[in-house]
Parts: sequence; structure tokens; C-alpha cells
Amino acid sequence: MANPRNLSSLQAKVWNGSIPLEIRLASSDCRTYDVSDPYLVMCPRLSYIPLLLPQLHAFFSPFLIDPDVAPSKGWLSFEDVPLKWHYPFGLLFDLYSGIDPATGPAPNEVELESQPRLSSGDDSESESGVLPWRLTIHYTEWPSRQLIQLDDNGKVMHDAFINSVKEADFLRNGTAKVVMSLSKADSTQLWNSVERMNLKNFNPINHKLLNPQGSNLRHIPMKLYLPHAAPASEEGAPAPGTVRVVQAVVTPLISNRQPQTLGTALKSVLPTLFPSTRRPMLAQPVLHGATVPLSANLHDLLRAAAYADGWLHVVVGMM
Amino acid sequence: MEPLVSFPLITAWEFEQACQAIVTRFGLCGHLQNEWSRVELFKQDLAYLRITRTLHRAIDRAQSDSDEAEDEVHEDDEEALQSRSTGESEMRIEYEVFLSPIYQVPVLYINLEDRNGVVPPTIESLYEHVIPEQFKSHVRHFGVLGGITMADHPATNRPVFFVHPCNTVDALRASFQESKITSDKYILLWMGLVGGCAGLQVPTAIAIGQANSTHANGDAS
Repeated sequence: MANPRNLSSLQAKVWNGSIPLEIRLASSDCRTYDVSDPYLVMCPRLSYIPLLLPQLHAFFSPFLIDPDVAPSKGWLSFEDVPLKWHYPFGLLFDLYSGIDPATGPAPNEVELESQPRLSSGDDSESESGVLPWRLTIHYTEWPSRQLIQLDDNGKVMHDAFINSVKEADFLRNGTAKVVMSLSKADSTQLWNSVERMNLKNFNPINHKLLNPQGSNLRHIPMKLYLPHAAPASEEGAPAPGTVRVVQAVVTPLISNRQPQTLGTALKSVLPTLFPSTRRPMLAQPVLHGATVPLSANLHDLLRAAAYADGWLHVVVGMM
Repeated sequence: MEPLVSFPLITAWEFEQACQAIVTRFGLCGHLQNEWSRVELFKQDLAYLRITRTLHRAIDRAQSDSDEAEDEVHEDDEEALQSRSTGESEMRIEYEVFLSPIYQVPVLYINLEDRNGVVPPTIESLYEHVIPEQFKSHVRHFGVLGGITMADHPATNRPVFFVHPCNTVDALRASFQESKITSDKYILLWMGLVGGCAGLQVPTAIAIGQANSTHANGDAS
């Protein structure tokens, strides 16, 4: 097991990770014939779309055809793919941005590159490069086949988050009793810390969730996301942006007391994509924008690099 | 039929048996009831059962939502009847039963389909049209939003409603004290416990029907 200090510094890095976004109003919602100004923001990777909606609404309301539309009617798309609001931003970016984590731009390049665009807004120039990530916000034509509607009080988002936390808890302990027995104050603090991206307030509650008394870790909460793979559905062609999500029961140890690594887990769940437990051959696992070595100890990875809902949301990218 | 090996949990193989048992029951006794209109078993990557109910009553209610509409119905009853009999405004509820890889028990997904788009697939519609009155407050006070929440459909990855499975294991254990249960009885027991709050009831004709005549081909699709 890795040094706890290394794990917590890695966790802090994960929580500090953010993505530069350039968000424009859909022209069908915009009262001026030309496009409106873009909204530029550094968005935490672990945050969620609904948490950004109030400020987007405040910024775009002067441009809206219907200025009375509720902030919760806003939805984001990337290249015509409606973005699932219950996926964290980092997961959405890793799934759809098309950036190769192995060859993507270095952080300092990104800053230099994005600087002139703040004022120019020249589209022909901004075709090059993935960053900032360019999204569109819509306030009409909610894509109800793809997205569940939000409510004005943020309860739908909160509920989706808590449900995800419960599932992770059930996998870790075999019951969801740990999260269900959190005090009201604790569960409020948990969600507030995510809303405000406050790791210091998050960790005391997370510690309670990860270290319940008299219970050993049973399974690692891990979901694998395969972009562009058709889902196992009976209905025709997949919609653009279709993702197949694979979930399997993964134990922290493989027999003979050997710890489970990312490689051993991937080989057992997706053997055709991961024929080797040591070397990526056809596909590679991406987490928080980075390619993760297959030798990573899965339990360590869970403690250092889980999303705020307690899950490892790993994107499987083809090489 | 063999008893389940690790009740209250169910294995993938047992789950498929259980779904097949419901399809068989429907094939034998489906014509004796009109609650369920279709029962299908899908066996792609993930095996799952789909039970379809068609709701006409709910649409009547949706139409009478505004007073204006109600007045019109009274004034011109003939036309109102006509529009209903054409079946244009029918809402379908699709109940889909999957095996949860997390909880290792069946999970209920609920999909609302209104061809005319009168009823949006929102949580409010679900409460108004699907959840029986006696369960409303119980379901609402369960989670942040209630015992029913949204999730991605395991096969299509589209948003659907589902009933929280996190208490299913305890509920199953508490309601069946004996040690042996077949997959057929298990799925009926599960539907009784979990389905009710979402308006999924096993029609009496299907519940008492003989599912033991194993060679009947009950595939409705």
C-alpha cells in the first residue's frame, strides 16, 4: 500500500484539476442575430453541470429570447451531443473532448494558446486545439430522450449524487448502511463540500465513508466508459455520443493475497480490449485526463483518485 | 425448478430463469387479464424482462388538467370520445427488470412513453400517473427525492426512472423465512415487494396461473 501522504497529495491534485471552458449560447436561444459573447470559466473537473447553471444564466440572460426562463432549463452540448449532467465535468471531457491524454497539450501551452482568444473570438483561428473546451448552452428543446429534466431547487442533482454515493457504499461494504446512517449534518456537509469543491470539508465525511467500523473493503466501485461503442440495445443505430458503460464486481485482492491492479481488473472485465495485465495493447484507461499505468494498485487508486461520489469513472480509450 | 443458491441474492443464470418463468406465465394466462399488454424477454449482453402497460385513464386525467379542457369535454362529448377511441393519446409504461451487478438483486426501471408528448417524462409525471396514491408519501420521503430516482438505462444508457435497490435485499430476507425458494416464486415475491410502489402488480390471473407446464411457449414478442 502506498504512503498515505502521497495518496492525499495526489487526491489534492485531483480536486484541483480543472478544465477551461468556452460556453456560447445556442443561436436559437439568442435574441441578437449574431452570436453572443462567450462565457469563459475554469471549471473543476469534479464538479457538475447543474452547479454551473446559475452563473451561466446570470451571464446569458441579457441575450436570451426568453429572459424569464429558469436557470435549471439550461443544458450543455458538445458538437451536438447533449452532455449528461450527472457525469462530472472531468468524465465528460475525458469521454468527448477527443484529446489524447498521452499527447495532449502541456498545461503552459494551453494558457498561452487560450489567451488571445479571450478577446478575439475568431472562430477560424480557434479551430485548432481542443482547449478551451467549447460547449453550447441551450435553454429550449430539452433533449428528453437523453437527459432527465432538472428542478429549480437542485434536488434532482442532489438526489443523483447521493444515489451514486450509496451505490459506491454498497459495493465497498455490502450494505448502504454507512451512508444511510450519516447524520443529517454530515450528509449536508458532504454535498456542500462538492458544491463548493472544498476538499477540507469533504475529507472528514469521506473518511467516515471509506473506513466504517468492523467492515473490510469488499469491492472497488469502478465504472468503465467505452465511447463510441454501441450499447447492447435492441433499438437501431446508436445516437451520437453514445457511450457504453460497463460495471463489474471487482475485488481489492485477487486470490493468493495479491492486490488487484488496474491491469488485472481490466483484463478480467474487458479481456478482448486488455489482453495483457501489464501493457496496454489496444486500449488505455484514462482517469482525470491522465493515462493510468496498468500496474496501479486499485485500492490506492480508489483512495487517491476517486470522484466525489466515491467511484472510479474510468474512460477506456482506443489506442 | 431448483431453489436459489444464495437467497436473497440471485445469480445471472437464475435471473434469466426467473424472467423466463414470467414470460411463460404470461403466455399461458395473459389472455385472462388486461393489466399487462406485453411481456418480453431480451437476451442480448444483459438479459432483461420488459412488461408493458398501457394507460388510458391517466391521459383522461391529463386532458382534464385545465378547467377549460374539461368544459369542452362536457360541451362536445362526442368529439372527446372519438379522440380517445382512436387511441392517439395513449401512454405506455414500460417496466424493465434487470439484474443489478452491484446489488445482485433484480432492479426495476420505469420508462414513460407518450406518443403525443402530452406527458413529459419527468418525475412529476411519474407521481401523477404511475405511482399509486397509497405509496406516494412513502416513496417521496425515502431519499432526497424519494425511493424512485433517475439513472441511465443499463442497455440504452438513456435516462429512466428506477426504484432504489439498496433495501431490496433486506426486504426479501424479511419476507421469506424459509430456506428454499425457486426463481419463479422469487420473482413474484420481488415484484410484490418492489413493484407495488411503481404501479407494477402481478395480475391475479398470472399470479395463480400454472407456470409448471414448462413446454408452453410464452414469448409474446
